[in-house]
Amino acid sequence: MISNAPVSLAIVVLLAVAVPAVFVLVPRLLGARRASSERQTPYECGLLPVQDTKSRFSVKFYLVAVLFILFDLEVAFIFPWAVVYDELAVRGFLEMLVFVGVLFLGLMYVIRKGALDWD
Amino acid sequence: MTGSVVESLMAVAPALNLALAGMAVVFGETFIGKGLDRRWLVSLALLGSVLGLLFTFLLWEPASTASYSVFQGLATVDTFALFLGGVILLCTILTLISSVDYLRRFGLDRGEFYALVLFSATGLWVMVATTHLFIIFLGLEVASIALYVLAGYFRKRDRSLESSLKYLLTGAFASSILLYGFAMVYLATGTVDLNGVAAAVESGEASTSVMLLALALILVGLGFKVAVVPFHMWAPDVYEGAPSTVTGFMATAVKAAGFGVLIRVLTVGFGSYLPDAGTMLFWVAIATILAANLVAVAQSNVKRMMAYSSVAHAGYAFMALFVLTQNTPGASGEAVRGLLFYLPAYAVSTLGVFTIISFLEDRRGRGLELEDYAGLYRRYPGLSMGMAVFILSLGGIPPTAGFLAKFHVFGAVISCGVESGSSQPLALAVVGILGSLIGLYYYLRVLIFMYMHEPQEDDRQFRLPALGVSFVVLVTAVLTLWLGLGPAVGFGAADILGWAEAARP
Amino acid sequence: MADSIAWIPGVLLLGAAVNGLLTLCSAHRGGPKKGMVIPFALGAPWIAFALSVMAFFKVKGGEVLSTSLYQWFDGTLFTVDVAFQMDSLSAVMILVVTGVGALIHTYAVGYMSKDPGFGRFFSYLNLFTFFMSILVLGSSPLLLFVGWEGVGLCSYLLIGFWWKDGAKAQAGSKAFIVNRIGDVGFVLGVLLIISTVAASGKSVHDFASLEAFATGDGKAALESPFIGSFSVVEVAGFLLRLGAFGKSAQLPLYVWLPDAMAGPTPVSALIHAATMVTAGVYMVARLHFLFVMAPTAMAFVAIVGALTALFAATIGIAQNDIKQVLAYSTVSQLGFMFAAVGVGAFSVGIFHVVTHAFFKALLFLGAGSVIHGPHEEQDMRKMGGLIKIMPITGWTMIIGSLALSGVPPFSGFFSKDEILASTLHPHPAFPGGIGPILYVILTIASLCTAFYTFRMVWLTFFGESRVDPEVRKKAHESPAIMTLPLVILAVGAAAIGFLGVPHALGGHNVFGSFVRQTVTSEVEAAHEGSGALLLVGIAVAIAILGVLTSYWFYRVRPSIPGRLFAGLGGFGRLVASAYRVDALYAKTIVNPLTRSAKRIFYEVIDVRFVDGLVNFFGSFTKGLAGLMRLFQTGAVRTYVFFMMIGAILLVWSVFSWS
Repeated sequence: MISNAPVSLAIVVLLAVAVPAVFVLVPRLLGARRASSERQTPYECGLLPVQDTKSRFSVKFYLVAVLFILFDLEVAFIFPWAVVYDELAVRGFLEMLVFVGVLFLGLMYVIRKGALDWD
Repeated sequence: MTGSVVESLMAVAPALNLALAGMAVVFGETFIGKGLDRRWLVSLALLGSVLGLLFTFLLWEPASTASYSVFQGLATVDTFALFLGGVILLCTILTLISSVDYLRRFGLDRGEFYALVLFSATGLWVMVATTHLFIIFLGLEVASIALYVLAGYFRKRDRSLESSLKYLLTGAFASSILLYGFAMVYLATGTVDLNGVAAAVESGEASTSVMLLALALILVGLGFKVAVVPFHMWAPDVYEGAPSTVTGFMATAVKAAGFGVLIRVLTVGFGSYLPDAGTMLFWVAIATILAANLVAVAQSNVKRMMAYSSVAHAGYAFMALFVLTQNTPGASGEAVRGLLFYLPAYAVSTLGVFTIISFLEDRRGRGLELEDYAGLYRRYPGLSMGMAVFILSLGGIPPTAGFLAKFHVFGAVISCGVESGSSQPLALAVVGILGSLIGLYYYLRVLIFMYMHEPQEDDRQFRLPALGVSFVVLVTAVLTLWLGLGPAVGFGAADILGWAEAARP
Repeated sequence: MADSIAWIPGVLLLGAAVNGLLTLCSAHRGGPKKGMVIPFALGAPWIAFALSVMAFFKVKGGEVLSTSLYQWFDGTLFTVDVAFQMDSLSAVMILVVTGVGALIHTYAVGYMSKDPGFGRFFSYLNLFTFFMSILVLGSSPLLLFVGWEGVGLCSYLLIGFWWKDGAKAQAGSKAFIVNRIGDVGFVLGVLLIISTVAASGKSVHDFASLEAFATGDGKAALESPFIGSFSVVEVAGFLLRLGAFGKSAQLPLYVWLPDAMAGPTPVSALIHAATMVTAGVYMVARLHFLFVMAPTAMAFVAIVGALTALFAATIGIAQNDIKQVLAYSTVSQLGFMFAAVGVGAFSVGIFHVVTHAFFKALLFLGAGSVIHGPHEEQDMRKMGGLIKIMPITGWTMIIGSLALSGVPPFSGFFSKDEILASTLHPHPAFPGGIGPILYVILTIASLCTAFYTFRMVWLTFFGESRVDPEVRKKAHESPAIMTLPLVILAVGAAAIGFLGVPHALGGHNVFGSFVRQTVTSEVEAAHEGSGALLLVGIAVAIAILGVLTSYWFYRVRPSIPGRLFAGLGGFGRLVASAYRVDALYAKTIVNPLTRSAKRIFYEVIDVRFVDGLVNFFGSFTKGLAGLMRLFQTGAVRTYVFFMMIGAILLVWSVFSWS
């Protein structure tokens, strides 16, 4: 156990404040400030900064994105498992089978419910 | 007992049943959904939860001699877990049954609903069956995420969506504070297992200030889940907007799990810091009881009133937690026992009320105002009688379960005062009893409207209560009376208290 | 098992359940047939009465009957069985409850015969009697409390029985709420006693063991200082009496009883005269061993009782509604009972409970018959001369009035005389001089009693008929099913007093010595033979003076009351409006509660304060405003803001109080 916990806590708090502060302050101190019309416009991932707010795009984008994140995250669990696969042996294999099985059920559900159908 | 995978799986069989049933329902909805009568899905869901309850009874005997510590100590299945798990399972079963008619009337009878209820119940069960803080958090999140979706299940209704969103936003905030508290525990002790935490505190290695900070943050997080002042403000909006049967589930099963975790965390992990939390719990309990009861008086929507009522009941339960901080062993035992009795007693009455509320709600979400209850006795004498039993129980009138529960909790508080010679517990008891007096005022209003007002003439037609609704109302009403005055045959008051005694952590 | 006293509540519960089910099953057809309801509605109380009589004879032989059904709950602090016991005290009470109760049930069959809610009414009435029997027979304070709350609930249901009338529904809930205020005291008191018992390492739950504890090894613990210089038992005594005051309508919690007259008249007779309202007196007698340890609390209760007796009696003089007269009379008579148990004369108080049950039930039922006769009229100014139309009702009511006024040899005379005499021999630990003061107050009260009682008699039954001629044609004597109970009660009201003829008059006070089998305390014993002949003489003179004055005022010189009333001016109006206590309560307690709940907690704190606070911080601190903006999703920001404040307070509190 860590006997000087308050000190550690203080360090955490200090870091939490310091890191963002550095990120904000350093460019401000070091960066050159040359104003031009291009620079004055906010950066928006390539979209036009000023346009009609009512632009419409399909809600299905969100659905696909959310599903992608879901299944993408699960892969993160499979990587460490693969690394120690030898040590986990059959038991590990079976456990992963259950895990993937549940995922598979989810995928089936998504497909059958038509969440991936674009039309 | 630590043992093989099979033994581990056996020990968590109730949760396993819930989860498997949930997945089976999703499977059924997926592959044979189109032409399938959804009654089969409900039956499947019920089968899972009833089996879960059955396993709970089977596990009770062995767990009472030596509790299961399985999955490398991640799950602790003791009588405490089984008792609260049983309460959660009971709430789940009753919620499932009462939801069928409700959803069918709105054309929303889908497998997902039942699956989500089961997943949520799984999470709640896991919460109470562990001493490991991360597993508690895992269970909490599994339960909460399912509930966020359930709250917004009526997606054509603005209220329901609003409820879901508010629950999600405030819930996420509370979860993060809770997690921060857990992190503080880890910082102070280097472990997230409550037994290890207790050992570290014992050996003097833990920093007191960090542990106190952790205690406060954990109380904030869990205080949100059980909805005590000032972390209760989400409850009225969320309870009002969510589908009525979901609200019933939230007000009972979630509260049972929340208080289970509170008891376990406070008594096992923070035992030696409890005296420091005394004044804090004292004021939280007082603020909760007074504010909730007083605001409830001003409500005209029954669901909203019940939301404040559930906040008030959390306040009474907090009185029992307060006793734990007072270093009075006799009263503390009684307080835990009283609280453990309070949870099922409150749960059956509240579920009964919400079942009736859900039955009276119509397609457009009307029928929730007090005026809509006028003259109900004329149209639905059976339901009105059930409602009277529940209302009296919530108001703490003998011979109902609610009276006995309050009696035990208040008794523990006064014993604590007599035992410690301090006037703080007595002040708390007086506030508690005054609060329940105010509570009676708004509870009785429901009865007055039901029995003593002329029914409104309107276009709503008489519907015969569906079998499921009648069944749930009957079961909960009988349980409410039986827990209040019934002989100890199987599950009378004496039995439940005996179990609660055995279940003390 | 077959002769177990548990059958008494059992039979009554059966009656309530059957009638309840009948009503429930036939609700869509407008209620069950009368023929189906009556067998159980009347069978239950009469069988219960028969069982009580059988049990009584065993108790009379010195036996204490008890039966335990099952363990209710057990625990580290409390272990309570569902068990009943019948000693001489509860035997007397159960006889009154089932006996007078059965008569009133019978009467009600006639009274309610045309009411569409016939089945519902009797299921409530049977349920009430069931709870009353639990209250009286329960062997522990907790079981007593179950009955206590149960009768309160049934009274609430029965007062609001004619629920189509908003005012009556309101009266029902008023009764319930006021009773609950008293119950707060009761619960706290019981819990305090039980906790004290538990703290000394014992698990004591029934009355017998509680008495052994209080008089034995628990005496020191109970008498140890608790709040300030007050001992545990004194604090508990005050709290318990608060409960008794609520249930038995004493100052300042009496306000619900006059309103409770909104219910059907048999209900007023059964609940608000004969049984439920005397539960407070019974409770004090039942826990006499605790109260004698707290002389301050006893003196307090005696004074409150005496003041209530006088206060309510003066209001009774100015009422014109016949049921209101009887209601205030009941409050006043309950005051007499409390004065008796307050000075330690427990058996005397119980004796008055019994005699009062007879004559007041009689008067209420008679009043019901009168109301029934001249077509639902309750105003005495529109009656008069009714003795010719309804002679049985009239003469039985006169007997009841004589008993109430304390005219010998009717029952009220004996019990009231004993109360007056006992006030002169109060608990030895009382401050000196209280006895005579109580005596004077109560004597004035009995003068008022005799006066208002016979005012009622003269106005209702004698003199010129002021009944509307149209109505008068239809007025009639009530049917036999209603008059028969009246006659039986009249016989009781006339004769029951002879059970307690004091020693001063050469009697043996059979009643007193029977009750003292159970209520054994030295204060009690001191009253033995306290009634001197002089006191008896004064009591008789007072009663007769009251009757004669009212005769003078209302028969010989009917103009006097009006002039006198006018002469009294504002005070007269104050008395007639029952001292405006209701308005005072509404102004000081009820309205502020609802208003503050709405204004302060909802409008101000929830809406104004929260938003105002948020706006304030928002404009004041940019940083905080930024934080707020992050959560600007409707009102959620407010919730989270409060959670933050709460979290900060909690963190602060663990550190500052540790």
